Amino acid sequence: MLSKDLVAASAVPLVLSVLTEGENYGYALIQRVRELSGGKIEWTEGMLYPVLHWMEKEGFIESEWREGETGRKRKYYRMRQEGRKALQEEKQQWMSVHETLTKLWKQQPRST
Amino acid sequence: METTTSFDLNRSIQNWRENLGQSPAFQRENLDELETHLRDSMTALQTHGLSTEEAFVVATARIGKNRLLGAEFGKINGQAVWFDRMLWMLIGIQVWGLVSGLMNSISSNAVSLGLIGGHFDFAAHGRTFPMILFGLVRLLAIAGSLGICWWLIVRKGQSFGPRIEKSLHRRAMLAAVCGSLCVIFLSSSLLIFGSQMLLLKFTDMRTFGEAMAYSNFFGWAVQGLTLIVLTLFLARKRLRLSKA
Repeated sequence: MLSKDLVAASAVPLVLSVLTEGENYGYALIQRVRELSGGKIEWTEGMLYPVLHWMEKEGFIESEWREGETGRKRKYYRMRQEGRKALQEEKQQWMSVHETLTKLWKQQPRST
Repeated sequence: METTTSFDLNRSIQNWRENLGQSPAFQRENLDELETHLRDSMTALQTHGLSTEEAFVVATARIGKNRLLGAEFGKINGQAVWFDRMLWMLIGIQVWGLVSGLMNSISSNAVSLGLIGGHFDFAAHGRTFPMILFGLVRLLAIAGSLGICWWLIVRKGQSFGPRIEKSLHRRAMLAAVCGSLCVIFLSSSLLIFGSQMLLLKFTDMRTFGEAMAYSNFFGWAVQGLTLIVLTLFLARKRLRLSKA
């Protein structure tokens, strides 16, 4: 299980990455992340929405209320151009952390 | 539609929404979105064999605790939170002004009337007695005002809030509420004015003036000091709570 701080820090890149697969709504976004992480990333589900609304205010994504296939009205979120730029930056930052850690851990494989 | 058993799902969801909605951090649209999430989550849990009630309990727990959610949504809807605080401050100031003004003038006038009616001679009998009397009655008035304000805002405020909200949506109701509040305010001012005129009629100017001066001086001193002490006490308590 991921620590709370890491879950919070990774929320924006995770949501943006899931939305590159196409528009989606809150509940399904959470399911997708849970499924991909093998249950290691567990959000307090309600906490996702303030993040989504913040991203919408920043112009990364846009939203629309629409009736889904079950007849239930849901708010769908869609990626915007600004969001793609933000995701590129996030990618670079996460990759540089990842690369640095990988190099360090290769040098000292038994130290942990 | 959602199934209804002895466990009333729609009622439970409504209660859950109302509990969340007590915080100004949530707007109606936020609650709609969370409710859709709750229903989606319940549907999935029920396909795994959970009963409606069990699914409701698990799904609400997964969404998160109201207090934590309120804090996060408050960051997004900060303006609404501040409007809410300003509104309650204004309501507090007005309720306090009305209640304490009324209590103070009734109690001070009663003491003045007693002193004047008993032919108390300020020059002959010294000042200690009226000082203590006015001071005591002011303290009592403050305690009474605090009690009434606490009852009105803290105890009754919770249930008044939604009712006031409903009435604000209807113009006629809004006008009626404004009108009746103005009448209460005017009649309380009239009461104070009338009682002072009555006092003035039955006594000479000098005695009346002296009684009023004592009453005013001790009123301000006792009220000011009590409120300062109370504020500092609450601030200390708040500080300790926020550190815990």
